[in-house]
Amino acid sequence: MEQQDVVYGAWRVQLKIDRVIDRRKGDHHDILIFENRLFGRVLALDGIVQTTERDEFVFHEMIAHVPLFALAAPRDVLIIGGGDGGALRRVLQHPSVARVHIAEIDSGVIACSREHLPAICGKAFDDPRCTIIVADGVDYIAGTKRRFDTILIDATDPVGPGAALVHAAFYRNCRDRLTEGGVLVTQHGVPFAEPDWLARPFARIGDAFAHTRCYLASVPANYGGFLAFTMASDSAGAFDVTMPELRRRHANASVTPRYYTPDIHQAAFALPPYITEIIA
Amino acid sequence: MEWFEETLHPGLHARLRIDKLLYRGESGHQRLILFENSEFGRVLALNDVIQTTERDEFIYHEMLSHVPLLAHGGAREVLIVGGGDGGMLEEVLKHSGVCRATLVEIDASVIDFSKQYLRAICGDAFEDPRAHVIIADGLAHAQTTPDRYDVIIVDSTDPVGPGEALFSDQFYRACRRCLAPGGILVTQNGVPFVQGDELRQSLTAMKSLFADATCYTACVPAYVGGAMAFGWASDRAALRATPLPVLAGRFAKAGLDTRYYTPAVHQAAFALPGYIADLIE
Repeated sequence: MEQQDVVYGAWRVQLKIDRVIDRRKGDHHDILIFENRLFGRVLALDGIVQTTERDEFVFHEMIAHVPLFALAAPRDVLIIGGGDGGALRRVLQHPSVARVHIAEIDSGVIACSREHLPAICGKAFDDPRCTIIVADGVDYIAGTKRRFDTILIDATDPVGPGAALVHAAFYRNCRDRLTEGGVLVTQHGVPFAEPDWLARPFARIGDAFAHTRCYLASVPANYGGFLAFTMASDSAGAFDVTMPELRRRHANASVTPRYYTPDIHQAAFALPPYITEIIA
Repeated sequence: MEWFEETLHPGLHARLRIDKLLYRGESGHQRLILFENSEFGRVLALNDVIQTTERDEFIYHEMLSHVPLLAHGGAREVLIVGGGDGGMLEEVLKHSGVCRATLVEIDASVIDFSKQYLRAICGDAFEDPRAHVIIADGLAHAQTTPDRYDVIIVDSTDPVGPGEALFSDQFYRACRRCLAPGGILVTQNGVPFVQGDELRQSLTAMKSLFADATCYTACVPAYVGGAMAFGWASDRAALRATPLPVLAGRFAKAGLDTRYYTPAVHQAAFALPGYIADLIE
């Protein structure tokens, strides 16, 4: 039995399903958790692999630690999507963080992760600083009066429920809910395979924010080269943190990353020309 | 429709559709297939493992050539061990200061294929008067050659079959023997997330032989498992930290038109993710 993860028509990667752990219909997604000998437990939504026990640290550290260490003392954080809890767990490792709201469209994803993926979410959902909102991120951001120092968009690919999370109006609403100097971060998949998933959202984010930069991580379960993120802010400060300051912030936090280092933080913003061309 | 299936890693299968089969055969040393795929262009696989593809080869070849050559700054003699597809040779010869690029390939048929089918990768590199092709075992060459090289690039297959000897202590010692003073050795060292032991073993050997040894990374689309690692060894420790303005000056002077390499990417490649740094400590 195989879990087929189609990247392209002519190019497929299949993770073998060694054992099905849970398969259920969520509010919006078909949820599957299975065991794979290379990646450990794997979460797939609607047939697409989202995260795996063995490699999740790369994506989650880079979507959480880069924006949070870019700020001096972030207090209020919003995660849109992120129902596996991996980003939430990293956010909660920052001692300055007082509150985290997580707006996840599918309560089934959170329930499955709590039950079967403790290696990814730990006890993050039980942390008293965490508030779970089961809602469409687009509606939540349009309706809330709260302000956040950091908004992380940890969504599925821009098809299906994730499609509205790459619209210009959504990015403008995010900007309006950020505190002064606040930072938005989102992911764009693998530009080598899907350049449009980076090019269009990046341009729309650029229309909404004064400062926008792309950064990269090598995610083992994502075939096809670098995964791209965008960090955006109306203030340049988050992009100008010196290396000694990053090292100081990193040393003061109780994080034990396996991918992120202050040097990786800085290096992640060095883009190969094939990616620079996509966002030019 | 036929599919090519790579089963290098248990539990994970990468499949590329064979839109047009160009060649399939066995030589004395390896099983070779060459086919057209609509996403990757022409794909070359040896012993069922993808070696290079037209669309992403630039990443691997740029990073394993320009990084040591621009860090060195004055390389005249370059040795490429393996690299029968010619992609590395082509990148090395773009540096006008290189007087001779010696390519030692164990399998002559790989070179013949490349000249016939992979011109998009090797260009006219094999016809360049500075190219010096030797069909021989890389280990034996490194152990016996009277030549001294400023940069040695090990463009090998994975450490199984004929590639195995190129990951041995004996081979790294032989490379050190034929490296000129201030020379740099770089090696293809696989994807540490799935081949961590190979990287650890190579780096342990390099550290015992050279004053400075580390690795640097690139992210290659056709390889599964995240960043791939390149070994780096030299008796001149300062070379790995060549300042950005120096690299930028050399890069501009070389007039290279690159799609992955930039001086900033060069520097960033030496920032290792924690899980890779842990492997080589």
